[in-house]
Amino acid sequence: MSEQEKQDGLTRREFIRNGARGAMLVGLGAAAGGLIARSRSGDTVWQIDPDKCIACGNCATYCVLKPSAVKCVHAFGVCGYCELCFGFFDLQPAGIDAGAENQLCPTGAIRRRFVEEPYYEYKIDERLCIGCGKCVEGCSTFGNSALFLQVRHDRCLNCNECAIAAACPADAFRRVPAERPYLLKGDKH
Amino acid sequence: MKVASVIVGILIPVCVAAAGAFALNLWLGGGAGIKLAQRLPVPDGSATEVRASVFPATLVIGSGATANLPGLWPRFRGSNFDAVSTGKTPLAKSWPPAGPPVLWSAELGEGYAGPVILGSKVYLLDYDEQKRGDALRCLSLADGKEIWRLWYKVRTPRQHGVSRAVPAVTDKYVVTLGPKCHVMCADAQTGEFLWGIDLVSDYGAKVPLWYASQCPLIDDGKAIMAPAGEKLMIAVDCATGRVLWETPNPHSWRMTHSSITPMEWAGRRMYVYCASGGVVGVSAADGKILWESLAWKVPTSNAPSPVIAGDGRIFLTGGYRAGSAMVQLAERDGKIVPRELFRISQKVFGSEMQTPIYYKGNVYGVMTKDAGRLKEQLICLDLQGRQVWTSGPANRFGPFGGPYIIADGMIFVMNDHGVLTLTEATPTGYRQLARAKVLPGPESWAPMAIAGGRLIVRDLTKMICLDVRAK
Repeated sequence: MSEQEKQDGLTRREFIRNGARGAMLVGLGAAAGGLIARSRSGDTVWQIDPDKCIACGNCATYCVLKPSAVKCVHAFGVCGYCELCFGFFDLQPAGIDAGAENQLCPTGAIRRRFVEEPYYEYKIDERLCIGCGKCVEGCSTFGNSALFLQVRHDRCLNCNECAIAAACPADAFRRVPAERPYLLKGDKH
Repeated sequence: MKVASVIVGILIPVCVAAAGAFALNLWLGGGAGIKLAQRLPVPDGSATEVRASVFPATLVIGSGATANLPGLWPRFRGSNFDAVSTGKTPLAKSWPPAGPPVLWSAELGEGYAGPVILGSKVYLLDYDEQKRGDALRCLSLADGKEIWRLWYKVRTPRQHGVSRAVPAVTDKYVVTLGPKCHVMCADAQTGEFLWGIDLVSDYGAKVPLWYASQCPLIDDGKAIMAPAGEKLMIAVDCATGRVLWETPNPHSWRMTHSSITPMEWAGRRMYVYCASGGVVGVSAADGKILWESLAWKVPTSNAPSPVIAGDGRIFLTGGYRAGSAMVQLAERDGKIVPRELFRISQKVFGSEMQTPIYYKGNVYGVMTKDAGRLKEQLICLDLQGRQVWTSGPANRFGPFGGPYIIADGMIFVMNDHGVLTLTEATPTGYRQLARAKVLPGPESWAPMAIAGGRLIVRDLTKMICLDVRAK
């Protein structure tokens, strides 16, 4: 080791060793990135076709996750912001207020907020939503169909054979490209 | 031996008890596994609207001119409240691919208010989105140009559009009921404002969810309407605005979207109305309640009107899984009693928005969205509530079914998106004659009007007049 190398604090050997380590890390990163990219591109995930879904309730009970990876999604552009929302209220509510006895949702996962006369906003609390589809059925039968179910890919395990898909009576589950994993409403309304 | 018995008899039970106590302590001391939250009906921040006086209304004269046409569709569902045209003009049984010729069109504020026709004039209660007011518009039947408009300012935010009810018109008067329950009477020829009533301020009416759709009625010079507030029904002299009679509201029923339908039975004229809690028959002479039934009520929202089906029968229908029922009036101990003949589920027939048509012994209508495999199909029923035919899965007419009318023995039925279909009005089967997309849509839900072979239809923002005469 020369005096100069000692003064710089880096030996040639160390320099070569660090360089090799760096090259290995870069190579490893590139390989991993390539592997991930290859696994993602052309890959598919499960999703629910909102036009086929009949809100039967199977999504809440058949998913291997508890609570289900299926959640309700709200297309605000389709919503009528009605005072009496058929996704929020029972068909014959005792009153038009947020009392538990008036609500459709068994877990209280929809928040109702007065905006201005005559509009009310409805938001899904995903922590509470179990994907039962009761609100979806009410909204699609008597309302604008603004509420619909989607598999949420921040929690879905993407099982090879999806238990809900196997139980779906409407054949609403299908594979969609992983880079576009949601089938959203609103674009054609 | 003694040691063993001590272990078995004392030590083991003590250990088990200690372990149980420990486990119980852990369980109770561990806190609840699930946090429970109460869902209470807390105030949502909405406030009762402050009602401002909107009358008198302002008259604006337009450039349209009166023509010489014999139009007659003077109220909701036409001359006889049955959606069947009395006109003698022969109508075309087939159309060109693009549909019947369009005679004129008019841009409208968003809504579902249908027009009426008298002579050469078309009347419509529109909503002027620029000025923010209900506008009674009088148009020329010949070219659609505006002859006059009478309007008053009232802020009505869009809620599935704004405009709703169909006016009623006679040679002298035109009466309207606005989305927020303002009743207005005007001179049918000049448009001069005659009088106005605010059913909320004056009668304690509650504006129904999605605004008022009740179509007012003019009968023998009286404007008949149902505030269903402090009074159930009122009659107002069209000439003076004086209230002639008021019907009490003993059950505190509320206003629905249904409209009052006149009925003659056993020599008596009465007004049949589906209120929030039941059906009532009110004497046309003095406003007294002749009969009532609490058995028929539609949850949430009742839009269809009673259908008079001959021989004292009244066909009632609704959405929200109400299905339909037929009642028949009978006289017992000097009183009129409604007797229910049958009740059918929405899977057999129900209508959420449109009023079915009774025509030559059958009932025609479009099924609701929740009718299972028959959803949104045109259907013919017999008077026992049995399905005679349905239009089939290839012929559906939208979740809010229709509108539809019968003219010259044919049904004109519109779907939600401006596609007009012509079929034969016969119990022998669904026989389609013509179909064309005549409006861009969406939400072509407004009641139609037809007179002299001119059919007026509209969607959310556009109204057109079609020439459906036979060539």
